This record gives sequence, C-alpha cells and structure tokens, in this order.
Amino acid sequence: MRWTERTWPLALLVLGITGLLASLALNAVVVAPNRLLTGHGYVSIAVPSLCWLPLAWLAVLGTSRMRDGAGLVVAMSLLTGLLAATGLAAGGLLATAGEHARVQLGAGFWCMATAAVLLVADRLREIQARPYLRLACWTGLALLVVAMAAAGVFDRLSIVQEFNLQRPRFITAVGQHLLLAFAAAAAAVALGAPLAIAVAQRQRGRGATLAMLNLVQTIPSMALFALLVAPLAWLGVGGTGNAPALVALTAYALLPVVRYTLAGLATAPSAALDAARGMGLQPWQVLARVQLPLGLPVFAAGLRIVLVQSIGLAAVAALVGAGGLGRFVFLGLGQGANDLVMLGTLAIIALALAADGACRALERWMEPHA
Amino acid sequence: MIEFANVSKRFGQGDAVDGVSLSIASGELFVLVGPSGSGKSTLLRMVNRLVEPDEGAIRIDGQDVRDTPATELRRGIGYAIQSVGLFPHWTVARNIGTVPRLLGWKEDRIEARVEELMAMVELDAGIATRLPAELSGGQQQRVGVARAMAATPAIVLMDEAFGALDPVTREKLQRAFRRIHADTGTTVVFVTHDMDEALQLGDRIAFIDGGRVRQCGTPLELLLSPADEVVRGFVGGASAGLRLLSVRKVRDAMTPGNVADGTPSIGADADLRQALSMMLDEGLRALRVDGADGQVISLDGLLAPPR
Repeated sequence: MRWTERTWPLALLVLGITGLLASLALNAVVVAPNRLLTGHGYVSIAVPSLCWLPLAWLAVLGTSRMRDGAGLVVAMSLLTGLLAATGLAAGGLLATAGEHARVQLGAGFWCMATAAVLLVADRLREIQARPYLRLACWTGLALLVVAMAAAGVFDRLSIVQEFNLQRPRFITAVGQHLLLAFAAAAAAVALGAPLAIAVAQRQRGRGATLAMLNLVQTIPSMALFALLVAPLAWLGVGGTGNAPALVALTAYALLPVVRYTLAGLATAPSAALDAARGMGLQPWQVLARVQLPLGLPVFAAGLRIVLVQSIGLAAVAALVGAGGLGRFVFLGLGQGANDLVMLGTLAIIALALAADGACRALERWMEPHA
Repeated sequence: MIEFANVSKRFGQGDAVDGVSLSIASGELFVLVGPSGSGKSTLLRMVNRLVEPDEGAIRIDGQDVRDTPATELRRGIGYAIQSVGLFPHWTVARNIGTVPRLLGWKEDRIEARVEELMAMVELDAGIATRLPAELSGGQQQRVGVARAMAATPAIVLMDEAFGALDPVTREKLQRAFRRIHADTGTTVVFVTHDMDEALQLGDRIAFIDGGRVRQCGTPLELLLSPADEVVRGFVGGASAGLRLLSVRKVRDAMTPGNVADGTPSIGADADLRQALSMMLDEGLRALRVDGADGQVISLDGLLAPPR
C-alpha cells in the first residue's frame, strides 16, 4: 500500500503525535502558592489522575486508520476524559498545598485540549457526518461540560475560581460585549449597504470607496481608538466609553459590509438584469426583486464575517472604557493574573464561535432549496 | 408601425449605428440580420430605450418613444434575449408572469394567462413550478418567448432568441414561433446573425453592416437580387440557389399536370427543398401535391423563375 494521504490520515497523525508529546513533555497543570505567583508545573504522567493520557494518545494513533464511528468515540471520550481528569487532579493537588494555592492550567493541557477538539472535528469530517449529527455531537459535548461544571468537577481550577469571583461582572460584560459588537455591525450595515448599492448602480467610485475603507482597515485598532478620543471629546459625545468604541468598530466593519454587499449584488446574472430592465422593472424593483434575493447567501456570509470580526475587535474597546470582555483581559494583564486573561479570552473565542455557527446555520437555511 | 428616422449612435454601449432609416409594418415579422458588431442589437435596443440614439428618432405608431417613460414603454413591448435571462430564483410560472404582475393584473388572470402561454409555446404544464436551472436549454428559450409575450404586447423584440440552441431544437422553435406569430399578429423585430434563420423567419429582412442598412427586402428579393457583393456573400453566393429552394413553398411553384397513380405526394406548405429531396429519394421528376387536384410539383417547376 502506498503512503499517500488517502491511506494515512495525515491530520490525525499530526494531532495524535502533538497530543502524545504534550502529555509527555509539557506541564499539564501548575500549582502556584497564590493567584499571582509563579508555581510549580506537573507533566501529566506525574499526576496520578492524569497519568493515563499518553496511553490515550497512543490509542488515538493506534485507531487512526479506523474509518467508522469508533475513531469519533475515542476522540470524544479523550476530550471529556481530559477535562474531567484535570478537574479531579486539581482537587488532589490542592489537598497537599497551602491555603491560597491555585491550580492553573498549563501549556500541556491547552495543547491536548486543542488537539482533542480538532480531533473530534476531523473525525466528524472524515465520516462525512450530516449537519444534524455534527450539531448533536458538539451540543452533547457542551452539555456534558456544563453538567460537569454544575457538579463541581472544575471548582478547584484557578480559572473557575476567577470566574466565580467575577461572576456578576462577567455576565454584565458578556452583555456589553455583544451589544457593542451587534450595534457596530448594525451601524455598519445601515451605512455600508446603501453606500455599496449606490456605488454598484452608478458603476463608479468603486475603487475610491474600497481604497478608503482599506486604508481604515490598516490603522492598528489601538491607534484608531486613541485617535478618536480627541475629536469625539471635542464633539461633546465623550472621548472615552461607548462612543469611540462604537465609531471605531463600525469603521472596521464597513469594509467587509461594502465588499460583501458589492459581491452579493454582482451574483445576479447580467442577462437576468438586462431582461429585467428590458421588461420594464424600475431600478428599485430590479434591486428588490432580483439582486437582493439572489445575493442573500453572500450577504449572510458577509454578516457572519462582520459579526465575528466585531466580537474579536470589541475586546480592545475596554481600553477606552467601553467595558466588555476585554476588561478582564486588560485587568488580568495589569495584575499578572494569567487565569483572568484566559477567562476573558476564552469567553471572547466562545462568543465568536457561537456567532459563526449561528450565522452558518442561517446561511444553509437560506440557500435555494433546488 | 415602427419607424427608425435617420437614427445614429456613435459610441457608448453597443455597436455604432450610422443614419439608419427603416419602417416596420404592424404585424410584420421583421428580421435584422448582419455580422456581429454590425449594430443590429443596438438598433433593436433603441426601440425599448435600453439604448438612446444620439441622433434621429424612433416612432411607434407615429409617437416618439422618448415621449413615454422608459419603464412604461418597456412594459408594453415584449423582450427576449439569447441568454434568456430568466430569474433563477423564480419558478417558470412566476417568470412568465413578470410583466402582467408589474401591470397589476389579478392573480387568477395571471394564472390563466400563464397556462395559455405555456400551451402556446408547447411547454408541459407540469413544469410551471420548476426553477429555470431544472430546465433544458430549449425549454428555457420557450419560457423566455412566453415571458416576452405574456402581457399580449403589440411589439416583441427578440435578440438572437434561439441562438444558443442545437440545430434540431432551434428549427422546432422557429417553426413554433412562426405559427405563434401568425396566430397573434404581433409585430416582431428579430435580430440574428444567421442568414438561414433570417430567411426562414422573416417577412422582410434588413441586412445591417457597419451600422448601415445595406439592403432591406423580402427573403426572395435578398436572394434573387442582392444589392452588393457583401449581401451576395452573406446570402450564400454559390449555395444561394439551395437557400432559395428552402424559402419558396410548393404552393408557389406547382403547375397543372398529371402523374401516374400511386405517385407519392407532398403538402402544399412544404418548402421546395423538401420537395427536391423527396424527388431525389424516390427517383421521380414530379410529385403529387396534397389537396390540390390536377397540380404537380416537378423539376421543371423548380427550375422555372420564381413568380
């Protein structure tokens, strides 16, 4: 048999070897005397409840050529097992440590967790799972994690302790973050879509408009927030807080909105447009009845990009006092509390992934059912 | 009546048109034929104001087209193009009902009209709920023709409307369209680069070249007395004689005479090309003509100068 990608699942091998090496060489957990000090790391084989991990990764490699559901079951078991065992390990390690000691998640854990998530995704792709099966798998995993969290499995992990300390502020921050990102996306659509339609109908100004929006996109986000402080303060809307954050996020979102609107409007075949005009449709009727409906899938894809981008960029908005999840990141950076940084970052990633997933589902639903 | 009065278009969209004057009678099937880039499509698109002339005027029944708002004008003129341009997200029925819907017809009237049109262009009523992507090229063209005729316009413009089809489908559609034209009495302006199609369909033909009309006349006139070498080359040069046969009908060349009992017969509406082919097949010098007692079509009849 030839050693081709078809016979040897390359992605799977890379993930398996990464997991194996991480389980052997990188610190799975770190026990620190308190939430700020640097601690002592433990490789997974040095912790009783984690010592099975190298064997599990070997099992992944051993089953790498199985094409049926078995590989998926192994991957999902590994992921849940890793999470549960790490939670339990924290309890064990804390029993012998000091009163303020914290168990932080180490590079080994993050490597293995990432590899395990990608492994599940790869297995799902490999068995060509239907969308509902994928959704069921991921929802099942998420529910399992929530159930474990509710049962207190993760309570002894530092990141969860940080969350519990911040809980009320965290929930407010999620709300602020989403509000900021959605408001910016909505404002960008309200401004950008008519702009793109005008550019498309006049057949000129396209280059200049895109060049200008491209220019905005090249300004580093921190610089843009800072640049906006003075003019907005002068306008009386305040140089800090929500106003500059909203203005900056909207400015960044304009390029993708205009680009995708133009691309969506161009989906209508030129013959259909010629026929539409020739039959006496008014320009707005051509737009509303032909171009907009035909461009819907492209508009939806654009909206997804804009939302994900805004959710990511809204993190920086905390710098100008707009709140949101970025607050925890910058607070953690200031205090040197890595778990607080991680808490904010993970939450932002989770929000972005959720928005991406929701929009993709919407796109699939909107595709013509021909 | 459609009248082009000294119409010119220098540049901009489409190919140039240079001082064209033409007059198209009501109910006529008028063909604009010529090589690509000759300006024939530009001329056609001036009728429904998709292109505005730089000079001259186009009048429909004596009224300048510029006196009517473009969209209103277009709703009264059917329009079918080579690439069909069906709306991909609408069903066949909805596509056909486009203009009636724009004109605010009632739903049940539109529905009845769509049914009638589908029968007219010989489309199976079962495909009314299909999307254009599910149809064959020939079916799409038929839908395009039905859509152009939906609101019973007095004028229909067709730009290479059968251009993208295979020869068999194309001939079927041409024949169906001739019949539809005869039944409805619509004025049709038809653009094509294919001389055979022009000769087959046209009551009259204008040969356009370099934005000018080189010759305008009936198919017979173009074949028998081409105005210059360019037209002569286009109507076929040496094979013009065969084309002449396909333009003339048996009815136009039959002569009184007698043939032996049991001689095969041919319809009076068949063209002379078919008659010649049948004579060659059967090894006969004359054929009986269906439904015309005492009339035959013979080799001598074919050779006689056209009446």
